[in-house]
Parts: sequence; C-alpha cells; structure tokens
Amino acid sequence: MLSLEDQIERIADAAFAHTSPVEWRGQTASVTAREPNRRFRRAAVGVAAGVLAVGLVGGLIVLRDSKADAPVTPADSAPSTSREIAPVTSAVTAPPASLDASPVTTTAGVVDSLPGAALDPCSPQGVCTYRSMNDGSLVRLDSRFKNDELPAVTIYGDNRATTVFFDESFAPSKAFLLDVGPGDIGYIWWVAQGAELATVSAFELTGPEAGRLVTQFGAELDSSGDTELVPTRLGFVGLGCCVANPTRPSPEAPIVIPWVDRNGNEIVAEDRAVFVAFVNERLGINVDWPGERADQGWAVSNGDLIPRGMPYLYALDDGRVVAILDGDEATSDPIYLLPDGTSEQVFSPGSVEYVLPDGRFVVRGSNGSFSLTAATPGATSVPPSPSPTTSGPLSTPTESAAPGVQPSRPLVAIDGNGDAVIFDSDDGNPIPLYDGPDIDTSSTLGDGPNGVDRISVAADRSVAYIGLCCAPVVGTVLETTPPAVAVPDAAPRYGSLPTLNPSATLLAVEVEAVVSITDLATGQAMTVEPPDGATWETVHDLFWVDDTTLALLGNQADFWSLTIITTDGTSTRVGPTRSFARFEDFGSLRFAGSAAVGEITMHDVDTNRVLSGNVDDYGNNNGSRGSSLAVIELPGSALSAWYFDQGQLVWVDTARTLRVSGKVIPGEYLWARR
Amino acid sequence: MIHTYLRKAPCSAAELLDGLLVCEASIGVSGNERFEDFVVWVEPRLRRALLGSVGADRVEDAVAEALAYAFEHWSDVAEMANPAGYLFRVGQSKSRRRLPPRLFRTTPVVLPEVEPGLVEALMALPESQRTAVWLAHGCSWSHAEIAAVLEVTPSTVATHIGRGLARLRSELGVAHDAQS
Repeated sequence: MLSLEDQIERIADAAFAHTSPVEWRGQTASVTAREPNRRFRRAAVGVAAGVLAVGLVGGLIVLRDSKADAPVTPADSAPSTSREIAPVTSAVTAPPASLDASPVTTTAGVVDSLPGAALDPCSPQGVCTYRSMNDGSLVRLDSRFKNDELPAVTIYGDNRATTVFFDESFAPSKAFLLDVGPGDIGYIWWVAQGAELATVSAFELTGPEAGRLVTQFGAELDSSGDTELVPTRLGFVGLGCCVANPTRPSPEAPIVIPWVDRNGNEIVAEDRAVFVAFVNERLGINVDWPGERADQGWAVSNGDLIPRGMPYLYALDDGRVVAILDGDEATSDPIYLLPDGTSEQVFSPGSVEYVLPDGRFVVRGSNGSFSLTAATPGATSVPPSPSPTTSGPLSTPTESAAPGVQPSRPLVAIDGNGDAVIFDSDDGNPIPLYDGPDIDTSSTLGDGPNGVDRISVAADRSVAYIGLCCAPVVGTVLETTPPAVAVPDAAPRYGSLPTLNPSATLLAVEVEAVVSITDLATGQAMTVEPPDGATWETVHDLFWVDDTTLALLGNQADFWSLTIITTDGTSTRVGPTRSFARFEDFGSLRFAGSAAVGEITMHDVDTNRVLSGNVDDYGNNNGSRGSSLAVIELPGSALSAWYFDQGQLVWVDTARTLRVSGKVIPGEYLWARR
Repeated sequence: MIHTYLRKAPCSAAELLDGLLVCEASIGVSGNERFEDFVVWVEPRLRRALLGSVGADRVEDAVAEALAYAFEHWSDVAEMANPAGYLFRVGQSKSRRRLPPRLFRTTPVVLPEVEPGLVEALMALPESQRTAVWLAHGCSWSHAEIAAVLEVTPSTVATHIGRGLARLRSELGVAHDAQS
C-alpha cells in the first residue's frame, strides 16, 4: 500500500483528470452556471471606464474590449441605458404568512433555539439576498421566485408578507439586492439573461407603484473583477479588493451609484450610519452615526480575522454594531461592537446572511435553509470563547525585566535556520544544540525530519531534549548535554513535545495522543490516558505547572480542552478536564507559560490571542459573555510567546525578532521558551 | 529566444513570459499573446490547487474567476513573484463554498492502492487542514508557498498538515506509514 501522502497525490491526479480545462477567449469553457457569492457585495463593478471588461456569460468566457472586436451584447437583453425597462405598476400583494413559522420572537437578550423561525425557502434555482426596509422590516430578493424565471421581492411585515413583482423585462440571469435606500427604493444589481454586463436598477418597493423602475445605472458595471459596492450617505462607492486598502472605502472613491428619490433625482441618505474600516496590523472600524451622535471607533482584531474587503457591518437600533469579519462559514461568528468601546463575540447558529436593525439575524443553515433568530444569538450549547478583544479581567504582564531577578530557566530558541539553540545568558549569545533543517524549505512530511519544533532544558543545563517533527509522524526526541550538539541517535526516542519538569526529574512526551512520563532517575515510564475511555484527538502541547502537575492542551471532538495530570513519580491521576473553546476558533493554540501566579497561559499564533487563567477559569463559561479567562494583549503579532517568572515575557514577532523582557536579541528566530 | 533552465525561486509572471526564465513550464511567448500564454501555464496549476479547496463542482468557476481577475489586473499580476498563489486566493475567495466540496462530480473511479474512504475523509477535514494537505501532497507545493497563500507561517502550515494527516490516519484506522 502506498503511503498516505502518495495516496493523496494519486487522488489528486485522478480528480484533476476528471476536471475540464478552463479555456480562454472565445472557446467554450466547462463553466457551470455560476452560483454567486453569498456576499453579493463582492459583485463586481467595472468602474474604470474604457478598460477591458471581462464577463462570464453562460459558460462562455469572453473578453470584451470596449473599442475593438468584442462580442456584441444582444440589444434586446442587455439594457444599457436608464429606463430601458418599461415602468410597471403591476405590484401584486401576495397572501400573507409566507413565514413558515409563527411570529418571530424578538425578546431582547433571549437566546433563540436552533434553528429559529424558518423563512420560506429560497427557490432552488435562485439566490436570495436579504436587507431591511426603512421601517426595519426584513426584505428579500429571490432571483428565481417560486422557481419561475422572474425575480420577486418579499417584504416581511409584522403580520403579513408582501411580494413585489416586476415587469418581465427585468429578467436577470443573476440578481442581488444591494440595499434599500431612502423612500424604500430598492437597488438591485443584476445581469440580464444572455447579457454579459451587469447593471444596477432602482425600483420602488412600496406604495401603489411598487415594482416600478425608477432609474437604472451604468453599462460600466460588469460581473467580473473583485470590487464591491459600499454604501455611503451619497450612494455606493467601489472598493477594490485584494490589494492594500488600508482605508476601506477610500475617502477619494467616487460615487458610482447615487441614492435617488422616486423621481430619479439624486438625494442624500442623511439617516444612514456609515462605516469605514482601517486595516493595518489591527482592524479598526469607525462609524459615523447620523445626526448629532458622535462618531465611534473600535479596534477589533488582527491576524486571520481581517477580511479582504469591507467587513460586514450592521448598525443596530440600540447603538450597537454587529461585525462579521469574513464570509467563510468557519469565521463568521458575529462580533458585537458595544457603545462603551468594547466588543463581544458570540456564536452564530449558522452563516449570518444579514442582521436587522432590531438585532435579529438571518441565518443560513447547513442545508441551505434560512431562519430568523431572536435578538441575541450566542449562548448556544457550545462553550463560548473569550472575546477577541480585551473584555474580561485583563492581566498586564510586563515586557520589562524585573531588576535583580535571575531567570529561573535558561532561554532556548529555534533560530531562523531551524536550528535549536540555548543562550548562555539573556545577553544574546546562542549556543547550538541541534542543526535542524531549514523550516522554510522543508516541505515533505513523512520522508525525513521536518525540523525542530520543541526544546526543553534543565534549569542547571545538565540535559536538554529536542523534539523533531514529524518524521515519522509520531516525532523524534533527541537528548544532549549542553553545550554538546545533539546528533540523531541510532535508537531514537519517538514522540513529540518533550517537556521537563522544573527540577528536571520527569520528562513528559506525547506519543500518538497518549502522554508518557518518564522518571529520568529510574527510567520508569508511566503512560497517561484520558479516563473513562475518552481520547484526546490530538495532544497539542504539554506544560509543567510545577514539579508534579502537568497541563495538557488537547482537543476532544470539536473543543479545545485543558487537562491537569498530577503525578507523584510512580503513579498519575488525570483530571479535571476543561473544554473551554470551540476547536475552530483557534488555529494553533499552544501553552505560553504562566502570566501570573497560579495561571496557565496560552497563545494562538493564528489569531494572536493570549488567554490566561487558572483551571477554574478555563471551565468557567458565562454564556454569551464569554469565559472568565483573561485576554492579554501582546505587544505585537507573535510567532511565539512565553510568560515566566511572574509575568516576564519572551516573544518572537512575525518579523522573527526575539525579545526577552523587552530586550531585542540579534538574529532571526521562530520560537523561544524558558 | 527562450532560455530553458530551472531555478528553485519562483519566477514572476513577467519573467516567465519574457522568456528569460522557464520556471515550471516551457511556454511559447510572442508579444501580444503574453496573457494567454500565462493562462496556459497557470490554468492547470490553479485548477489542481483549487480542486482540493473548493471541490469539483466549483473548481472551474473558481479558476474562471481567478483568470478574469488576472486579466483585469494583468499589469499587477504580471509582476507578482507567485501569481499562481495569489490567483489561488482570488479563486478561493470568489467561490465560497456552501456545501461540502466533492473531489469527483460522480461516483469516483476505483483508485488502486488508495484506502477506501480516504477521499471522503480528506474532504471532510477542516478547510485549513484540507487545503494545506492538498497543496502539500496533492500539488507538491512547499510549506513556504502554502504559507503565503494561507497567510500563515510555515510552522502553522506544518501544524495543519500534521494535524490533517493524523486525523486521516485516525479516521481510516491506518498506522503511520512513513517508512512503508
């Protein structure tokens, strides 16, 4: 049998062979009908006039040069001037109660049970987008209403649903409701059937002429690119994606689509809250509230949570703002930006499609259905994670060295070349412990050692253990006596995460989700497994809290777990175990020493969050308000962080700079601990 | 004149199409056809990479979106050190999945020497793990390349891959086979 890695390659070969090349310019491509992004604002606008426009049309990729030999858009299907669609007055009021469920509960603070009040299904062939009317009612555009070819808008009032139909000349191949502006004018982005270019049309959605076209914008809009339309008080501006846009949208961005009244005259949406996002290492969000209310800003997050375009932001009636930082299901948990400048993340029962001003969420379930939650989703049955910002008690470990305090353990690190080193002092003289492969170029798991990923050294430097990951997958542990350089042993000790207790009498090693604790004096090993037949799906890290107490960071099912293991050197006791966060909330959580007496601290490289607390804190979840864990701000984005000696900090930033108690150590480093 | 030699460092698209270097494919270059030549080079690489991320049902759409983006931003893309990696992100972001991705649109053919259930287990991995495993072992991308497109560190890539493979072994009940 091939190795697992080779099997994956073979699968890739076979799967690749089953796909069809996507051909370019005038050749038929194997492109199926494109399902637009759930985030319709990603819909592109080709705002640069006179440039080549690219369209995806009915499985055909064509290039359209506005000046040359481009395929011609059929004149009868691609409206190119405003008011080309005949105004109609055929709005039809549909029977009420399109909501499948009885009236939706909107009691503030109540946690809605899953799946909440179901909305009537979106037609399988269509795409539904949700917005709100000026009175806060939910409104939906189904691009293929009731499986018909024509779209329709449904407005969900308190006791009835009203459906607005349009003239049949509004026959899109795809259509999204951009927004509802002043006077309940709906702005719909759409591409006519058989056409290649998109347009935006403004329709009346209420009143005796509901469904009437007010005006239409721009043949310059198209369905390609990666630009989104962001609403402001004057209208929509374009926001290019995927390039450095530190200010989103740009204050210089021209208005692409203005707001209009029912006569088509341009107007200003004075009562609209307007957002600006500032993207640097952190994500800042400012809201310009309408009226006299002062502007407000939040520093939300950093790292992987920063979206590529504009975050999805919703102003609530009560002064809060809901932010959703990515369209991915995995990261779409909403964050409440609170009036006091803090924030609070909650769990969503599904992918949030829209948030109404009264706080209700439109949520897409895993089966594609839509439902309406109560005002404050969040306290589901899963334990909530700490807020990504500084809510909760804040520990404030310092970077400054405590004068006169001798570090309790030597400093060890993995340098930029992937080598294990130990420092003779904190003045920065690294002594090699093992010549590891360059972690930046090592790419193959299973065929050879991939690199040093752990070093543990005795306080008196009498012995050091070096963990090599991950070949074989279980890992290899090397032993050396500094300053001797470790060499691969003919009979290596397999395992990973070698961790010495403070007095260097016990060595803990992980071997295939089981922990082995070896008494170094006798060579006697004890195997530690979870009680009651449970398993750690993965053991992610080990940390000796003291000479007899080992903390284990693992995950069980979909939760990160902290397990305390105590030992007297001859026997072990396992427990308690605390599940403290959803597994998907942290990409690479690891122990980070102890930021305060009695605390166990963890750092997640992916989100740059640092959590700290005692064992009870890890088990103390307070509903949607998160846990009682402290969330610590690091001085910057860190590849590695380690707290020691009552809050002193060793950390490596993403530029590979190692700092020890605020002092920079020359050289490049990837990881460091004491 | 096209000099055909390989170098390990990635070439920019411009270098590639200028004919100064041939990094991973030998292509013909003739003035006005530079973009189309770029498509010839990048399309299969993109399609294979995106296949494991977005699945067979959406891969061609994702590739088409990425190519459309490349055309629209050609002056920028042409200068990129790793245009395939960048376009991978474009295709990925413009093809958000709604349903679990599938590698095969129909019942897959029988693959000799492949564990029954491996395809399903692979596609059931969390997205970050699946993408990392797929790019590393299905597409032979380096950790550094994967790290660039996932916007994480190479060590995080290693974590994702290690975790993903361990999960696959656990799901399939197979032993570590590094030496086999």
